[in-house]
Amino acid sequence: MAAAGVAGVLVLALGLALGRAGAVGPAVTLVGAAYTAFLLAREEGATARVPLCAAILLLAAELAYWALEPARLRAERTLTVRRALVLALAASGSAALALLVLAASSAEARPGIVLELAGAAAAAGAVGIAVWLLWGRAQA
Amino acid sequence: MTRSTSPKAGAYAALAALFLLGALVLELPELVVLAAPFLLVLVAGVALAREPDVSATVELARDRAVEGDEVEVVIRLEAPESVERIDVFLAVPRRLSAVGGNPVAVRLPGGRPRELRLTLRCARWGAALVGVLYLRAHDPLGLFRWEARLDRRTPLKVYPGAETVRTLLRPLETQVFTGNQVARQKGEGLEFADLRPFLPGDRIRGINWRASARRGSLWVNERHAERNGDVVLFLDTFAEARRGRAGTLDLAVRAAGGLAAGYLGHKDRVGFVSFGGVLNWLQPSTGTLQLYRIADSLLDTEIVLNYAWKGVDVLPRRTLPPQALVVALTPLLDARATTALLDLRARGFDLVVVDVSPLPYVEAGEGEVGELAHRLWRLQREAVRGRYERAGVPVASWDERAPLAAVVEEVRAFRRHASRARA
Repeated sequence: MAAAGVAGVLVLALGLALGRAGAVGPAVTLVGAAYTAFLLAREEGATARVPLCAAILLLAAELAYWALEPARLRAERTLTVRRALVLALAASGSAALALLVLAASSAEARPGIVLELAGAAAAAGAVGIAVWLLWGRAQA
Repeated sequence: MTRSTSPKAGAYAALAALFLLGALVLELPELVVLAAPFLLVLVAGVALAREPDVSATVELARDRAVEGDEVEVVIRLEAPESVERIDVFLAVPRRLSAVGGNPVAVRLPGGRPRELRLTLRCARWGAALVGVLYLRAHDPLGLFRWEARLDRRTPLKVYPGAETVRTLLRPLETQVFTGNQVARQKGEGLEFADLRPFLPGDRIRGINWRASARRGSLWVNERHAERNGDVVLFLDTFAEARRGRAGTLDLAVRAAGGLAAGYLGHKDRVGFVSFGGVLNWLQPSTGTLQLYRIADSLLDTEIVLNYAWKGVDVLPRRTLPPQALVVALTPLLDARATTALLDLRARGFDLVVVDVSPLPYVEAGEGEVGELAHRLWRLQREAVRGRYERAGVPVASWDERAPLAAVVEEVRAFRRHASRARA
């Protein structure tokens, strides 16, 4: 568990040092895997902190991408302030959404084939979006 | 504009997919919560993304500058709708360098033009085209980007910083037009030349009353006429020695600019010959216009590798007028140039060779053989200089540490010495 987390931090540090944007995704994945392992072995009460962790993961990824922008690119002050505001908004909005999702998942629902199918469709849709975006990048 | 997806979009989609799949496989609803922020950013990013319609113009504050000057570039950007962030990069030609922010990231408000000011330092002389603009617009969440390359090139001429020359080499022979050179011939002028007996038709004010009183008859002063001279600046562009941003060609061009300005200021006719891989010439003429012509020709000067043998025969006859002073600026590196100059001397031209020394730019190779080769090369150069001196051609060595005036003085000393030797 800890090894995956440390590996994620190391990969992120290495990516930042080498200026590789491709390292951010695997780094967050590794940290997410470590957190998943923690959740699997958790005790009661850990679930409440998941929205916060989700927002922190997003914030870390956003800040890493920001840090990876070329150093010689000079951004004007107002742009930097606006970007920081957008980032804060995204982090707080995502925390709120995560809280909502958590509340929804905690609600009593009768397990059934419909819910299972909806979940699978959402996952397949996300995979599809990922493939489409990566294919678009490869084409560009 | 060409749209592309940022690495962030792909990574976020992959992360969300992984977390969702993990939630299904591990039956862990908390992973859906981890996926939610990334999905939110993706959905919001796609919803907010609009292709920007950006137009841009590039304007130079001036189209002529001198080496070392700074020139301001104004980039005007306009878009009908706001662009949250646009990165602007002006491609700076090799001879120039950007001072301050380039590239720069700005926000572009919709419907209002935005001006960006960039300062370019003219590091080296030459003609450059400025205005290739690279734009990269981003959506508010940085998931997509639109890139464009706009060609808004405008010419910028960077003239070499001319060497200051206070005293100039006088041509041995003058021409027929009025100028500032004291001619050997007698005529109307200021400089005293001789005395002679009064002849009918002589003007009264020409009478030298002291000499007339001593000799008991009327004697008049004779004076040297003041005429212009023809000067041809001969630039050897077959080869150069260069280290980093400095080289013999830069020095030669600066010297040529300074000499041209100096001679034209003295009402002499100045011509220009760039003798090298590419031949370029200007017939001698006077005035400010000729100075601009020469400056523009200097901008086109470059070393072009060429193995063809060229002699002075390839030059148009009127480029080298008889009795012209030919000032050759050469690093004495190419046999074609040295031979052509000796040929000019043999044809009776008043030739002066300014040896733009390549020695500061050339280091001896490593080891004993390298050292020996360097010494042999230097001896070879001395031998070439000796050939010129035996032909009666003054050769003055010049490098960037010394002013050009030192060269002028060295040539003058050579001429004085040569005159005494002849006498």
